Amino acid sequence: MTILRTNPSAVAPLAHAHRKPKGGHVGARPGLPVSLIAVIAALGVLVVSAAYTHGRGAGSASPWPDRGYWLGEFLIVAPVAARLFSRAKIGAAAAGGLVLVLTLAQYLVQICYSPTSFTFPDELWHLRSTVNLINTGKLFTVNYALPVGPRYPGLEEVTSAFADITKLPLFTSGLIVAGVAHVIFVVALFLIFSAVTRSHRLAGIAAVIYLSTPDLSSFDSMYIYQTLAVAFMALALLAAWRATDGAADFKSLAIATLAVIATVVTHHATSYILVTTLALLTATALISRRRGTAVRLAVLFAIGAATIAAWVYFVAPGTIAYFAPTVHAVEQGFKHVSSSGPSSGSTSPTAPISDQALGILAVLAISALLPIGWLRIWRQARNQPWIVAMAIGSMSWYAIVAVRFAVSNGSELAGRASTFVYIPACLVVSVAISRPVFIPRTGRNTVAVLAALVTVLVLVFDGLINGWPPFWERLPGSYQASGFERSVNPEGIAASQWALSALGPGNRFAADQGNYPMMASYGYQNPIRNIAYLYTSSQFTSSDQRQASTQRIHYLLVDLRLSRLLPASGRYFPIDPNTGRYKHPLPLADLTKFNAVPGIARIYDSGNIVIYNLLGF
Amino acid sequence: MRYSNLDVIAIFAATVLAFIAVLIKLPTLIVAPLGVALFVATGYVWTETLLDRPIGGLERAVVAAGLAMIVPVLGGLVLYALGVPLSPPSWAGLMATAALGGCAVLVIRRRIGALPPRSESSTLTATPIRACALFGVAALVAAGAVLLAREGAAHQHYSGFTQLWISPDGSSDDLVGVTNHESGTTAYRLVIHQTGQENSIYSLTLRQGATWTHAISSGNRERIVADLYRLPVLSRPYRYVDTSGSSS
Repeated sequence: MTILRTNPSAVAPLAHAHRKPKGGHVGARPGLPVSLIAVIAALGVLVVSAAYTHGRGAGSASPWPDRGYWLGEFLIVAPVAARLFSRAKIGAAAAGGLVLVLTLAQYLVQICYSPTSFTFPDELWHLRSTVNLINTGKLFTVNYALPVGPRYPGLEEVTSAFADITKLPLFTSGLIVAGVAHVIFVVALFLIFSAVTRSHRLAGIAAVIYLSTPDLSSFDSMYIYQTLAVAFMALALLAAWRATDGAADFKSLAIATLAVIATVVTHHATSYILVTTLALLTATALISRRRGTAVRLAVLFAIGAATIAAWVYFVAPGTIAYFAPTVHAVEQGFKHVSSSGPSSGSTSPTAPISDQALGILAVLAISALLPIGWLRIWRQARNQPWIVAMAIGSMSWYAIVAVRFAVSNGSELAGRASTFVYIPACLVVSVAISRPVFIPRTGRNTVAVLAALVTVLVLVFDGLINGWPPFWERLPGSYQASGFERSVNPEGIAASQWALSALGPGNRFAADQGNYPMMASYGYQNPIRNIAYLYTSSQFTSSDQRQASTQRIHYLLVDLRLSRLLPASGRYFPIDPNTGRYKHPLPLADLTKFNAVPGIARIYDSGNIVIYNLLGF
Repeated sequence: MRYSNLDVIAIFAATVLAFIAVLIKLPTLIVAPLGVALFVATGYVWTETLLDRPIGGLERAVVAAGLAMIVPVLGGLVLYALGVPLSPPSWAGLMATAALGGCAVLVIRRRIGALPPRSESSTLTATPIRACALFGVAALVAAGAVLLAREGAAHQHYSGFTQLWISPDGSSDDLVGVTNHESGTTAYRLVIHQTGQENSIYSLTLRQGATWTHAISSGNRERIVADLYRLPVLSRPYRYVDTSGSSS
C-alpha cells in the first residue's frame, strides 16, 4: 500500500504491489456476476427459512434444522467473500452490490427468525414506546422497562411517522425502518472504508469482516434505537469525510451536522462514540498538519458535544443514572482483577466446546492481525488522518477483550462495545489480511489468498456462532423458560394483554425473566427487577412481605413452567443471585405457596400462568 | 447547462397526492405506496439539492434514505416543541413541507446554475437484462423464504390454554371472565362460590378466541371462589381463582 502523492489525503489500494506482475494481473477478467451471487444468497435465505420452519415443528430433536441453518449461512456468506478475494476485477458497483446483497440477506434471515411479531425484549420495549407515541401524539411518554428510552425518541418518531402515513401495521413499519437503517449503516461503512482506502475490494473485505460483530444481528439491526443511531452515525462520518476531503464542502458539512444531531437525539451511547470519534479525527488531522480538515472536524465535534450536553441536561437527565451501574460494574470488575485475578466472565450457559474454540481462534486472529495492519499503515499511510484514527481506534479491541474476560458479565459489555470497536478493527484487519489479493498470483501467493479467505470466513462464522441468537436459541422452536425470543409465547402475551385491560397500565409487577418483557410491553405494566426472593423459598415470610411492601409490588405473576424447566439463559429472574448455578428447576411448592397466604388473592389462572393480587395486605 | 425538471414535477405530484391520501384517509392499498413515495421524494430532493458533487449512485441512495429519516426525527421534535400533536396529518404535513421546500430550493438552484452538471459516475449505469432477470429471481426466492417463515410461525404448535379471571369491573362489582384459546370449541362448567350464598353454576360452550363474562356483586367484600371445569372432567377444577383476603 502506498500513498498517492497527488492527493495526500488518499491511500492507494494494495494493487500497487512491490513486485511487477508476471502472470495475469489482478482484476484482468470478469468474475461471478453480483446478480448470480444474489440468487445464491437468496437460496441461502430460503434454506435457513426452511430450517427455521422445521425447527418450529417437531424437528427440534433432529440435527437437520441446525445443519440446514449452517448450509444456508454458507450459501449467503461464502460466495460474497470468495468473489472479493478472487482475481476477477471488481469495481465500485460490484463491491457495493456484494455488500448490499450480504447485508440484505442477513437481515432477511433475521426476519425469518421472527416473522410475525417482535420477540426480543428490547424490541418489545421500543414497540411500547411507539404505541404510546401513536396513541397520545406525544413524545417522552413513560416506559417502565426502559425509562431512558423515550428520552431518545428518534426510532419511535420515524416509525410512527411511517406507520401513520402509510397505514402499514406497526410491526411491518418497524421492520422497514430497522431494515433501511441497517442497510444505511453497513453500506455507509463500506463507503467510508472505500473512501479512506481508495480500494473498493479492500472496503468490501472490511465490510464482510464487520459481519463478525457479535451484536450486528441484534442491537444493530433489530427494532432498537441503536439500529437507527448507528445509521445516523455512519452517515455523519461519511458526510464528514466528504466535507473534509479536499476543498471545503459546506453542504456535506450540513448533512453531517444534521446526522450528528439526529444521532444525539436517537441513542445516548452511539452519540458519545460519534463525538469521541470526531475528537480523535480532529486530533489526527492536527498531527497530520491538515488545518482545514481539523477545523471542519472540530466544528462537528463541538456541535455534537454541545448537543449531547444540552440534551442530557434539559431532556434526558436520567441518562447519567442509567449508565451508573454499568460504569460501576466495569470499575469493580477491574478492581477485582487487580486484587484476585480475572472473573469467570460470562454468566450465560456455557457454550459448546467447538463454539468456544472458534471464539478463541477469532480473538487470537484479530489480536495478531491488528499489529500487522498498524505496521502497514505506519509505513505507507501515516500522514492520512482518517486511517491513522482508525488504527488508533482499533487499539480499543484489546480493551474489550480485557473486559470480556475480566469483568463479571463482561461478554455482554464487550458485545455491546463491539459494534463500535469492530469498525476500525475490521478495516485494519482487512489491510493486514488482504495484501496477497492485490499482487499477481503465484503458487505461494494463491495459498496466501486462500488462507486469508479462510480467516475471513472463520471470523464471520465466529460472529454467527457466538453472536445473537445464542446457541440455545439459534433456531426458533418450542417454549423455553427464562429465555429471550423463545420465551415469548401466546399464553404470556394473553396474560399481559389481560393485565392491561383488566388492571390498567403502570402497576408494579413481579414477574420472571421470560414474562417481564411481555408484561412491560404488551401489558404496559411496571415490572420490578429485584424479585427473586419471592420465588425461591417454600414460605412467604414476614420478611418477604415487608420487602414486597417496601417495593410497592401490587401484582405477582407466577409461571409454573419454572418448576419443570431449567432457565435457558442461566437465570430465572431479571436480577438473580443464583445465575448460572441452577441444577434443578424451582420446586413447585415455592411457586404455589401464595395460594394459601391470607390477603393474597388469586385473580388470574391460565394453566401455566397465575397472577396474584398483593393489595390485600 | 439546462436541467430537466421532470423529477421535480414527479416529486411535487407524489407529495401532493400522498398528503391528500393521508388527509382523506384512503385505504392502505392506495396510501401505502404513496406514503413510501413521500419518504423517497423527501430524501431524493434534498440529496439532489445538497449533494452537488459527482458521487456514486449507492452513496446517493444512502444519503437520500438517511435524510428521509432525519426529517421526522428532527421535525418531530420541532412539532412537539410547537405543541402540535404527532398525528398522521401532522407527520404527512411535515414530510410534504420538507419535500416541497426541497423542490423549491432545487428548482431555484438549477435556474441560477448553482448546481454543476452531473458526472458520469453519478448517473445510474444501465444494468443488462440478464442481470435484472437474475436480481428478479433473487427477490422472488427471498420473498418465498419470508413467506415460508411466516407460514411456519403462524402454524407453530403451542399448547392451548383457557383464561379464567376475576377483577374489578369499575363499579362495586367483580367481573368473572373466561376466554378460550384451546384451538377449538370447548365446553366448560363454571361454579362460583360466594360466602353466604348458594353456588352459581354456568354451562359455557366457547369457540376459539371467544370470551364470556359475568358481573358479581361483591359489595360485602365476601370471598369469591370460581372453579372452572373443562368438560367432561368434573373431578377437579381445570382453572380456579380465589379472592380470599382481597380487599377488592
